[in-house]
Order: sequence, then structure tokens, then C-alpha cells
Amino acid sequence: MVYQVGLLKGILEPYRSRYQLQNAEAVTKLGLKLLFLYFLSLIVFAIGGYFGIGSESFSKEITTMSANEFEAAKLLILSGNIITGILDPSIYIFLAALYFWIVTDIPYIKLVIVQMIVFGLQLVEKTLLIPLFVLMDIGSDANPFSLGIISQYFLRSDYFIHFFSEITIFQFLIIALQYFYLKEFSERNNYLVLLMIVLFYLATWFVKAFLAYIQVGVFV
Amino acid sequence: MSGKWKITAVSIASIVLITVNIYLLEKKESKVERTVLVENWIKVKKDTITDTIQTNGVIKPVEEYDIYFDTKKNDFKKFLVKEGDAITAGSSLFEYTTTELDAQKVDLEAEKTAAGGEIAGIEEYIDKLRSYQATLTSDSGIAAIDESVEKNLSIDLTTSSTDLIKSSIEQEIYKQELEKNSLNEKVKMLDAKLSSIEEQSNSIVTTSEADGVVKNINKNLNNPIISIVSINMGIAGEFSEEEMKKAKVGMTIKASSSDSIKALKGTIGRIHSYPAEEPSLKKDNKFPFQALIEPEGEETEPLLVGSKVDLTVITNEKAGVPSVPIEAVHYQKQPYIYKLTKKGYVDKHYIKKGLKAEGKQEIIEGPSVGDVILLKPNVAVKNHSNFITPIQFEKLKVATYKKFTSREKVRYLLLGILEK
Repeated sequence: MVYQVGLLKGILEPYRSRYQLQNAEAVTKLGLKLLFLYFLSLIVFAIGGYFGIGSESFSKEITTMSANEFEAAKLLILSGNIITGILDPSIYIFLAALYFWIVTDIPYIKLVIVQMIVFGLQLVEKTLLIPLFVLMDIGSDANPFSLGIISQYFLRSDYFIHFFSEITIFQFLIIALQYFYLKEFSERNNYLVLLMIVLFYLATWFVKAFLAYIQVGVFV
Repeated sequence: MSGKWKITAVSIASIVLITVNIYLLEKKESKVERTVLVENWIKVKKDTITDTIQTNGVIKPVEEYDIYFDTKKNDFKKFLVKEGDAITAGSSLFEYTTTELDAQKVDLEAEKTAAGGEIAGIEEYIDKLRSYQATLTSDSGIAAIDESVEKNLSIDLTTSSTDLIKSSIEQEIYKQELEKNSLNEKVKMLDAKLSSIEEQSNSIVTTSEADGVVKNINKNLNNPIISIVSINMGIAGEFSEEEMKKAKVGMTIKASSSDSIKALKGTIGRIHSYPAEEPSLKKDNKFPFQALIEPEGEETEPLLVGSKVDLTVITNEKAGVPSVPIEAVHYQKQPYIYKLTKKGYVDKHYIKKGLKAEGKQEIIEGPSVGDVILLKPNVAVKNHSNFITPIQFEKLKVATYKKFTSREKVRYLLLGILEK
């Protein structure tokens, strides 16, 4: 049985996809879909970069730079965003698959396909957030799908506010979807699989919060 | 747990979370950090702000003075100038005679006629006397004598001797001669008076007081019978009620017309404080004003009376003051603008406004020259928000990158890669 990689199918018809992937002997259209994902990711990150989403820490330079310099620097930031648009899926798909391959007994290729499906969902979230941030005049700490807003009422620490703003409804959906696939593919205890997944996502949230927290200027 | 139930639970939880979040975000005095997408901004500029009134005017002589004529007391004779004539001070304008002198003249002439009649009567009488005298000497007896003569003679002709009669006639003739002489004198005097009146009435002319051009002559002698305008040109126009509040005598004007290349300069010379037409509630009252044109150094083309000009009245001018576009200024209780601070926030700053004109607003108190001001969006969702700016490709220049050190370039690139 040949499994044809379908990202939308993977999200919208999880049972069927899971069954097909479970019984797959060969995989087609993987490279094509991977390219497509990279392309989408690049576009979404570039659009986010165009609006300057996430560039709050740089904005203060507006007072010290000439208009030309300011825009030139922003173009560099946009380039950085585009690079992230490449790095992000790479890490999320291949590195994460490697982690799950280590902690579970699932073949790597299947993990890659699952990561691709859930990364599609990540992109959907990111795509939705761009107009939301722009139209509502909010940053990622005030993402209404996240716990960030509530945490701002209880916490002083910027770092933890960033952390809670990473925990969104979408992240729960992604975790659920990932668990839905992996628990079926893995022979191990479901709770263990869930724990591994949750741990992975906790790690990503902490890392992302850390990235939001640090000022690059400190290093360079 | 069935799948449906799970989905419902998750959906409800999600909706609750989103609702709470939106509430916390949008409620007043929200603690939530906001990020404003600043689409457009500008630096406070050092600028010259000129407040002007834009209006229209027409080229007209500066002064106009009218000459009046009293038709009750005087008799008009003739005009000595035509419309359009250039005249100098002292030029004769028209001739007239006064009716007072005329009345005198009529009186004198009547007297003269009366005196002439008397002289004629006396002469006739003398002739009669002489002829009577002649009859007496010729001894043809006593001729019939005129009754009129007899009445005047103080003697009884029938009884008196011829000699006596002769001498008394002689006396009478002599008396009459004297009378005639005095009357002749009187006539001479009257003639002198009359001729002097004649001379006077011929020499009554009205002269011009200043140089100018005859603008109007009223042939039917309605006052003013002559209007004279000066050679110096000015500009006449009208201010609206709104403009009257700003306009003052002495303000600089600039005038340009479509057909002359050179702009005229000048000053407001006079503003009428009373509207051109009767003040009324219904319409906007117009107040006439005149502006004087400053003569140019070299002789320029003469100004045509009646040419229309576009007029700019400079009512106020401030040079080198901090200025922002008026759309950057917002109002609550006080005017304020949003400043983009060096800490990366959009902060509300109250300002004290100065002169506002040409879409620019002077800032007397508030952000200073070089500070960055928010233009768009015109409302920051929350004071002291973070802000981000979309990239403006049109401001990108390759040459700018030469200004950046490698370290800066790496920093910005990393910022894009790492910070979200």
C-alpha cells in the first residue's frame, strides 16, 4: 500500500490518514509536499516580517536612525525572518522527528510525515495570527487564543508572560493530533507517549519564550 | 468519553478562553500590553509656517476723490476736461457762474434801464423848454405852452413879463441838465459794476487739487459731477467676516494675475469696518479693503485698471519653529500628539499649540524638533504601547548598507531570525 502524503487530509481526515500511514509500505509525494511546506512557511514568515511582527525590540531605533537606515535595518530583519521561515520547519520536522524517534519506536519517516502534518497546523495558526495582530493592535503576548493575556494579570515576569502566551488553543489541538497519531503508531504506553509529546512542546514553549525574552543586542 | 463530547468540551473551553481574553484585552484600564502597527510617522520639523488669507482683488487706483457742484446757487457753464483726461494739480475742470451775481446783475441792469429812461425824459423836457424859449423871443405872441412845462415853472405865465419867464425857463433848463448829468454818472457806475460782474462770472473755474485721471463726468450735473482718480494703483477686494478677524492694516500682500508673470507685493492700506452692503443676518457680510502696491525698482509694465488678481494676505508668519502636520494632532480635553519614544513606546504627549496654517501646526510646548511623531493610525489603541512598523520598500537604498558595520548587519539579521 502506497501512502500519498496529504497534509490537509492529515488534519481533516485523521482517522483515514492514520490508518493509511499505519499500513504504508511506500510513501510518495513526500519531497513535493515538503517543498510546498517550506514554500508556505517562507511566505507566511515573510508576510509576518513585512508587518514587523515581533520586531518591537527594534522599534526604538526609529529615534536614532534616519528613515533610510531604519528601513534598511528592517529589511535585514525581514531577511532574518525569511531564514527562520526555512529553519523553523527544518527544526520542527526533522529534529523533532529525531527526538520522537529516540523516545518512541516509530519509524523516522512516519514521524517526519506526522510532523509535517502538525507543522501544517502550526502554519495555519501563524497565518491566522498575522491579521489578528495587525488589526487588533496586539503582539504575541496578547494573543487571545493563548494564556498570555490572563498571565499578564497575574505575573510580573516578562519571561513567563512570553511562556504562557505560547500556550494556545492551537497548541493543544496540535498536541492532541500528534498524540492521536503517535499513540497508534507506538507500541508503548499511551501516557508515556503523551508525556513525551507534552515535554517536547513544553520545551518549544520555553525556547520560544526565551527567544522572545532575550535581546539580541546583548550578544552582538 | 465519546468523541463528540470531547469536541464539545474543547470547543466550550476554547470559547470561554477567547471570550475572557477579549474582555481582558478590551476593558478599560486594561493591563494587557499592546503593539501598535505604526503605518506612518514623521519627525517634528523645524519649519516656517505662514498663515494666509486667499482672496481675489481687482487693480484699482489708490485714491478717488469727487468734486461736487451746488446747482442751487450756481449756474453751470461748461466742462473743461473730458473723461479719461490726465490732469495735474491746478488744472481747470469746469466753469460756472453764481446765480447770486446774476441777481445783482439783473438788478443793476434794471437800474441802468430806469436811469436811461429818466435821462431820455429829461432830454425831451429840455427840448420842449428850449422850443418854448424860442417862441418867446420871436414875438409871435404867447405860444401855447406845454402843460407839463407850465407845471414845472414856478411863475404864472399869463401874468409874468417875458423876461421873467425867460429867466425862469433858463433856470429850469439848468436844473434839468444837472439832473441828467448825475443820472449819466449813475449809468457809468452801473456799467462798471456790470462789467466787473461780467468779468467775475467768467473767471469762476474749479481746479483739480491733485494729479490724476478724470474717471467720470456727470453730464446731467448729478453730484459728484466729476470723479478724479489718482495715478497710483492699488488693489481692492473684500474680506469675509471670518477673514476680518485675521486681517489687519499693514499686513503684507502678494498678488498675482494670470497674465502678468511678476507677482506684486504690497501692504493692506485700509480695511473698512463697515460692510459693503447693509449688514444682514442672512448673508455673509463683505468688508471692502484696499491694498497699496509697492513700486518695483525698475519700471514695470503699467497695471491695467480692472485686472483681476489672486491675492494672498500674509496674516502671520513664524520661521524656524517646531511643526507637525495637523493630522498628527488629536484632541481630547487638550491637544496631544503621539510620540514614538527612544524606549520603543507610543506615548501620548500633550502639547501647547501655536500657529496653524498650510496643514502645519506649530508646537509651542511638547515634543521638540527631531522627535518622531505618529501619523497613522491616528489613534493608538492604548497609551504607552509597544509599536512595530511595516517595511517601506520605497525608502530602501542599497547605499544605506555601506553605513552599517558588519556587526550591526549581523545583529539585525539575528534579530529577525531569533526574536519573534
